Amino acid sequence: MNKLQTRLETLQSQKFILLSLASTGIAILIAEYIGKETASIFTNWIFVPIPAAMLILSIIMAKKHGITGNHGKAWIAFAVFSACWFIAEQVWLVEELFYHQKPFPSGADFFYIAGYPAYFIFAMLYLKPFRSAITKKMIVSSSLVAVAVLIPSMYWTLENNSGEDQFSIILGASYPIADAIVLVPAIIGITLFFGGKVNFLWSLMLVGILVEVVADTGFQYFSLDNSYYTGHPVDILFLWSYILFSFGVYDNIKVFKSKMNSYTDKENLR
Amino acid sequence: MNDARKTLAVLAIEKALLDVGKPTYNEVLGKLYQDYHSSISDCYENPEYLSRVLKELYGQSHLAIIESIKKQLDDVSRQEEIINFVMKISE
Repeated sequence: MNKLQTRLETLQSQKFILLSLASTGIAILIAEYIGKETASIFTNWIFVPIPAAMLILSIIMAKKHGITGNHGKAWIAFAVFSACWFIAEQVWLVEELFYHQKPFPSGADFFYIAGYPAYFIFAMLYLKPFRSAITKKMIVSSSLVAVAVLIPSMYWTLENNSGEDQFSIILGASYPIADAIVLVPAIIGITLFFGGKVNFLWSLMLVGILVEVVADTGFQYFSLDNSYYTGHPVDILFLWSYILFSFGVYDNIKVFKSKMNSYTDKENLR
Repeated sequence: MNDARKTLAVLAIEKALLDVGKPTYNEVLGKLYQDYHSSISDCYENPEYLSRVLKELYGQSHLAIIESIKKQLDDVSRQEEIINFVMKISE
């Protein structure tokens, strides 16, 4: 009965994820169809509630854990990552809509880049209690996958001879490299927790990062091509990665919703 | 003497779970009660309960937590009851 309920809950949340992905994608495409300006305004503003949702969920998770154990520290690092990317999105919005400046490169990049080490620390701390189950083969094969994902992105970046300055090219190329680095613990996580309840979090993290890799590569490609603008269909992928991360965190909150609260005599459970 | 060994095993389990995090500890406690009407101290006689609950949460990597419990019990690992406990929990 319990397992059936869990499966139903998983199916329901999968349906909800697909619905969220489809609706945000369609909304951006409609805005794009209306016109570039509408797409730009709509996309800038939609990057307020969605990254905010991830930030709120990660704060809930960090508060729930406190600073106890490796996972407590891991979720604090994830909250820092979410805060960095949330701030980055808002800097982007202010630069573009209020100061009418080109938002790339800008101060937003400082926060995007700062988010990556925080995410990497999260992944490391989450996996730390399970380090004895991590084999050299797992590390090597996940690193190979990450390199394989990185190669096409690097090829497009180095192939392009646009008028972008050297700094923008290097900055743009650093994103897929950072994505490839954080991809390694995500692949290890999904392998490690296969069959367990926490695997859904890691599956969504992995898909989220893969979507981010494609988005960053696309962003770099269209930026160098001078055809990128906020509201470009490639932005759908950035939104999707936030949605996937958020659902992953939400699922983890549900897994650890602490059955302890329903028992009055907790001491007797020891 | 038996009680002392049981206390050591319970402490080892608690430490291993708290090393992961308080919600993990709470979840395991709650799940043990919900599924088996047991507590952590009952896992000394029935280590398979703990093993199953951890597997449900973390999949095959639950063996890493069990490894950590075994490590905590290294000093007393030659005592027969602890050997039995460690053997059963690893199955």
